[in-house]
Amino acid sequence: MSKKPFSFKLPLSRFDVTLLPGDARKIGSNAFKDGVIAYFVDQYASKGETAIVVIDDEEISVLTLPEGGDPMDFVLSMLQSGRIKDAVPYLEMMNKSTPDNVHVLYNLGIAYSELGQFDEAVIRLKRAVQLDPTHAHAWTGIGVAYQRMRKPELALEPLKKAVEANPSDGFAQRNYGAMLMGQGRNEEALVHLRAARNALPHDPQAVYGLAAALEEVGGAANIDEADELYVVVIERWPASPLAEEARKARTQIAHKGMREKVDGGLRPDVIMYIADALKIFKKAGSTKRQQIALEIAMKGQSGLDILDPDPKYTLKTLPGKFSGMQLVSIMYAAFKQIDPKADSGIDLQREYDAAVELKH
Amino acid sequence: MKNLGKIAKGVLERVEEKTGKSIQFLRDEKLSVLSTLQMARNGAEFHVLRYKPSDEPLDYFVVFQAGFVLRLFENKPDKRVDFSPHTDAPKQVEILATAGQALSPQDLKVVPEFSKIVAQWALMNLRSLPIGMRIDRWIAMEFPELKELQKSGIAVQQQQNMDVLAYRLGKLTVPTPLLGPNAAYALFADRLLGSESFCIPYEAMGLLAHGRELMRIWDETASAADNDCELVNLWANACGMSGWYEWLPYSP
Repeated sequence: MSKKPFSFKLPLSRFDVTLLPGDARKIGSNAFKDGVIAYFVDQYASKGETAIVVIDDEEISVLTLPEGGDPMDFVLSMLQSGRIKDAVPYLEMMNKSTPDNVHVLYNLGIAYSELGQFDEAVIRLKRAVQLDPTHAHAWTGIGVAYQRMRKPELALEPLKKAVEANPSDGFAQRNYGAMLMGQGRNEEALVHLRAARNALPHDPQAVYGLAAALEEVGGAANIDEADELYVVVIERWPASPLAEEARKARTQIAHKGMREKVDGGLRPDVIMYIADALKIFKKAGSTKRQQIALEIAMKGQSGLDILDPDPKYTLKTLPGKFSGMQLVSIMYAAFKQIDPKADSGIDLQREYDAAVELKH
Repeated sequence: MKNLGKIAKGVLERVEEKTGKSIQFLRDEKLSVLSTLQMARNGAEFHVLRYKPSDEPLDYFVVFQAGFVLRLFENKPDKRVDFSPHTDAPKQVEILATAGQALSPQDLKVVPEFSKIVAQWALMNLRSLPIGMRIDRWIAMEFPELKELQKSGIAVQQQQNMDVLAYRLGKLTVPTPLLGPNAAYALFADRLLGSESFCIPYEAMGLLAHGRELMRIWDETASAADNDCELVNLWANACGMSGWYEWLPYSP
């Protein structure tokens, strides 16, 4: 007996029909298929092996496993290695032989969802939750499938059921929270996204989701917490797309805070920073200006604290110490000169205009 | 190849002694099998052992390949021969592959290409399986330490043979008589390893009778290396492949 799984495929026409009962010899008929399945299952069972047999209109596929081998382990390893399409026929076969096996139904549903066959996915997953209403992952799978089908109105209920089935399931909480946020129900979303973050402290989406919800709900404490969480995302997953989103979000928060300090009016300190920067650029020339802007932009990758007035930053390209707002102002002035249409992530246009006026 | 065990290294040394030429190792990521041994020809100073990097030990495969060289050199110099396929072998496959089938114009178009691939595969099997089985038996008898590696190596080869069963182009499939050597090899593997399941797919295809006939020939033919040509010829006759090849004097 081979220790490793053994698999093969035969064209239907290759099977020796004389091995089947007289009424099962019409190739392709249901009786033929049942007969072929029974043949291989019996043959391998007699050698102490398990066989999974799948028959379509053209081929017979057989997978054999050593005694005691769990076919599900083999199929799961296929799924984990991304061979989803290959795994589906075996899952279908297992589903046929054990139609009430929730584990099989769940994996089959998720496999169909990954392959974009959402109707098939929902059918299997609904059967799974019918058999086991506490299967939070299956409920989540239904919700996600509806989301992917762009039917958010149908996604909410199963995602809610997932949370009810298992409140400690972080993925269920995260998906339900995100769905609520999508519907503008931010305060409700916050509760679930906080639960998701507690359950999945190492999941960037859970951390980012909570930060986004806190920012949407608003209030000084929430905004501070959101900003701290965005920093966590940037520092722990610096190369992820979420880190980029977190950087943008931090800039927006800082910008908003800066304006709130002056009730939406002009910031005289920023006007002065920009005016000084313009003088430096004029004296130092365009190459130096570019070097300064680049250095500040690089420093800003991990976020500049523009709400703290303390001069705590230094540059190699300019002497002295600078506050976060001062650096952002210098960078803004440089970008305005290099490419006036460029998005520097913060709107200091009115201060820039005022600084230019000051020069005249 | 630094990880080769004592047995495999010893067998390779025997190859070098017998042939008077050393072996050069060549790492080849694209190799379709785990290792091949190409004998030095046309004045080349080295045999070339190509191997595919693998987590699995290659000892069994290396010894198996070396076995072909050793068997060839067991013959006296004037009895050493090379297997040379005839160029019209694909035509013979065409006849078998298309017999009794109503083929679409599309299928008919690919018949020559399909037949060429199948002829090459069938002749390689005819040449290597019966002699390879002698080598497998030699490994089992002389190197019991390689038993587990041999077991998994044969399982890999059986799995590769299975992939041929599904090979087809349109309606064209490998003609049944050409699958006999594979059925025989499955029967042999079950006998050698004490397993009984490699032959199940061949039984399902109605090929076991043919496989058993080839095994009978294999058992009844003397196993010394100077009978290898006769063994191949007898198998060829039983598979309807006589005249698809010829034996030429070995030229180093």
